Amino acid sequence: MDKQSYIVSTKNLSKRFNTKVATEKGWKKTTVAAVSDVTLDIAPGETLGLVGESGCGKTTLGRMLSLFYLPSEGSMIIHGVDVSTLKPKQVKPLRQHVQMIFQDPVSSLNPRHTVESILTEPMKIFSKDSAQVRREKAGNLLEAVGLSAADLSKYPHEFSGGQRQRITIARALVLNPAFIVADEPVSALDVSVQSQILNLMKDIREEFNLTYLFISHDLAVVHHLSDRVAVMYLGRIVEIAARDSLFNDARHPYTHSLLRSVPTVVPNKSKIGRILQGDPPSPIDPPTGCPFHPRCPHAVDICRDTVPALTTVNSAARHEAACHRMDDIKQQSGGPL
Amino acid sequence: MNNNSPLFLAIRRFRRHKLAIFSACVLVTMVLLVIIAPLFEIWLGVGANDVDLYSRMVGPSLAHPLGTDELGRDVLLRLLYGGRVSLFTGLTAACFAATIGTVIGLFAGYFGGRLDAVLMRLTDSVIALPLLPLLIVLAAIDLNKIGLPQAIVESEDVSFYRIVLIVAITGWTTVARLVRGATLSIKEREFVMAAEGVGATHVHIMFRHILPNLLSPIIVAVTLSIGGVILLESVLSFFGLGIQPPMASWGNMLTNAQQLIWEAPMLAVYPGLLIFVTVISFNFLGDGLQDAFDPKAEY
Amino acid sequence: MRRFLLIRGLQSLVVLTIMSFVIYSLIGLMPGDPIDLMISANPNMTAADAAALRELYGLDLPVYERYWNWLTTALSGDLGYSRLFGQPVLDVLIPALKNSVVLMGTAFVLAVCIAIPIGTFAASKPRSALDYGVNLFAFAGISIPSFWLALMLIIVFGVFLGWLPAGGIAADGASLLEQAKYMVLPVATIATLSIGSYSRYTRSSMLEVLRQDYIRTARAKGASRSRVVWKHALRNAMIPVVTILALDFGYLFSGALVTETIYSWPGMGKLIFDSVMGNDFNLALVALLFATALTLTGNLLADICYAFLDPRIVIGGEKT
Repeated sequence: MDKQSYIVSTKNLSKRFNTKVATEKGWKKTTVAAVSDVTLDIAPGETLGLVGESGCGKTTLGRMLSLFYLPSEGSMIIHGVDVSTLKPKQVKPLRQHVQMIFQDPVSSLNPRHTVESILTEPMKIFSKDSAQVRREKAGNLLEAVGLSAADLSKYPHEFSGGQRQRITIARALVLNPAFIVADEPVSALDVSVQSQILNLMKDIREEFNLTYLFISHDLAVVHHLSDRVAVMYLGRIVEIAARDSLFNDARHPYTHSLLRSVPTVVPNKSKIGRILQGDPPSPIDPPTGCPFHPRCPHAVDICRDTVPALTTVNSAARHEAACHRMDDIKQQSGGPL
Repeated sequence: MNNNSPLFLAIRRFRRHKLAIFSACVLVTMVLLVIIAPLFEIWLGVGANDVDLYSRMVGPSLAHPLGTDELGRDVLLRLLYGGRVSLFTGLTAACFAATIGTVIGLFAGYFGGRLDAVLMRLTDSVIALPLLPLLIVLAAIDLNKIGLPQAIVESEDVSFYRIVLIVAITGWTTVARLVRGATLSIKEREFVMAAEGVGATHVHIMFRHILPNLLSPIIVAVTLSIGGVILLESVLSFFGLGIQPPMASWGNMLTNAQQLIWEAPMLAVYPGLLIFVTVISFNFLGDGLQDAFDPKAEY
Repeated sequence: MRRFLLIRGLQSLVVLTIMSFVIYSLIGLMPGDPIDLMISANPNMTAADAAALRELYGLDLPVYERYWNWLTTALSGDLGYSRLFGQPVLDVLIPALKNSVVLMGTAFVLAVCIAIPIGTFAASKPRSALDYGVNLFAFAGISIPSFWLALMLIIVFGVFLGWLPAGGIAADGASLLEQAKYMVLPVATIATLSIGSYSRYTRSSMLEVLRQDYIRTARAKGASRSRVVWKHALRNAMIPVVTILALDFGYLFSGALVTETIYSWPGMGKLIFDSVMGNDFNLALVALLFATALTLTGNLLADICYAFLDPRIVIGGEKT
């Protein structure tokens, strides 16, 4: 497929933040690379799952793709527009094509606004509809997400967590976007409600022709919704593949450990592998070479010196992984899980 | 109405504050009385500024329920009209100051960085100044010298505008700090990002999304500051620098009372007592509101 | 810590410099100027004489040039002459400063000695009659107009009872008792106002500390409530209180304008009031700047106290 026909296409995308660290001699200014060298494409109608531990940069990447942060380096084409060449003020017209669903349905709805004003606000900014039309559209959207038009005059505190998340989904749909970034959309909800919301997201994907970037730390949830899955570690994508290829044929040792940490239905069926030791290193002071090497049981000298590039493992499944030793590991362990 | 709504809970908590409720009643009564002050003029058949040198400093009677002052003016009427001025000055100046403080605090908290640093240094500096001596200087400056037209300088209301302005330019700091702090925490909430995500402008986010969430602390701060403003107005007027006679204010009614302690001690008691009752009522009310709006409040 | 002090000190200096210009300009905006006063004193002066005098004194120059002239002269040690008192400004200022420190210092010590114990007692028995009483008194203290309280005290003790002088200060060389008599009413006025706010601060700060976990631990280990309050909590509860006290420290020197004026106590507050009202430009300017400098110092002191008392505060990445 040619670059322009993807909804999202990034090349060597990086984001650095300025920050201060406390040292012996007071505060020192430094930069932290939240996202480094990310190259990925998302085709129309596709759902890309993005997994990783907290602090791995998946939220930053999600916010870049939903236009909250401009890239520090690399290119980012969204809905046919090269965002990396835009100035902050030129981003606004693009916003109607890219929307976000937030993690916390309590904090993402303004407690002082009615549902109606929450849902009509985007229309006020982007369209010239009359108040009557706006209200009607908002009512229809509420019904599309499983609430009723009578809820328009209510305030967010009058709804349950799941209902609130339905409202934020409705808000994301108001402008009829092509691409939606969902950042942990169900992790703040009760387990019983999670599947309802996931199914709703599935339904509206068909109904509104949406493309998703679905961010989660929960592999089961990602498995449920995604066509492809990318695994992030310390700001980099370490493995990306079609869903089944990733879950059945993971190559990167980090992906292995993530998959092992998922509780299985039949315990002790597979040999429980080494569980990850220690915390992920700080992105302020990242390790040299492969970012995973300090915690990797298979690390050798080359891992400490050279950053591995994403290489194709299986072109049919568009399966790529970034590990110097993935071939050796596969032979040793006789395949994952 | 949902029984768990924040407003409902706030009202329930507020109702526990008997003093605050009592204060609210006192203030409402007082406001009503000063509004209907002209009716008292009709009833007594004299104006608040009518001088009657034949009945100076007479005691209470049917014609003058609280007696007359050293110029034979009716004390009750002057107290009512003085109350108008004092209450109105307090409310206007406190709201004006709160508006300045809100805008400064919103900008500092929302944009952060260098703008925040500059605005907060400014706020700290104003807080660190000796307020009363500077207010006295501000109240004493000659309006002709700053180029105001003669018509304005000589108009009757100029002393009122001057005092509102003086209080506003010095009294905004509390609200500015409060609003900045609250803005810092509210701008991290995801609904602010959500508004940004649908293309809302910074001004729209600040005033339509953040500000409504700050209203309760601002209302508390304004209520608590009205008392202070009334005290400032009264002290400036007492020294002859605030509201100018013949317009009555509780402060300037006390100016001459000092010399008349022997002849008419009550002249010094009434206005001060009213200032005291009003200010303490506003403070009790503000305290009650603070507890009502504060979800952590235990006591 | 040293860097923090340096930065805060420099900041205060910048504010003081800016304020000196602002105050200079404001004073220039007060009614009349020195030449107007000369004209009213000497009816023979013509308009031409006045213009010549204005030029001689540099009063026709733009305000920033006049300010610069004043600043360079002042920094060289010449603060000018007080018109009202007919003495060099410094000779008027120093006795006033002394009087203010005596008055405010006494009131300050008295207020602290009363407010901290009653605030602590109130906090140790929340919702008791004593607590309500302290609260009521505190609200009265912040709500009563100081000038009216002073008037009432004068009426009662100075006029009707005649026990105490209604104002002024004892003559030089008077006995201590005589001097003290003049101080009772002003000290009572100032202390009443501060006791209110100090005791409220102490009470709320103490309640805050008593909610902490380590206090619960101490109680769980069997310490009595009063022991916990006085032995464990007081020290930590004093941190914010001391900050407030330090903030007020600047006022010790700048005086209580209202109280001093009403009781005719010849301190800094009355001096500022008289010089502003009496168009004594030189004196008003220097006295105001003095008051500003001292209040700024009080603020600086409050910051330092806070940093020293609370080990959690880290300044410039450096543990204090």
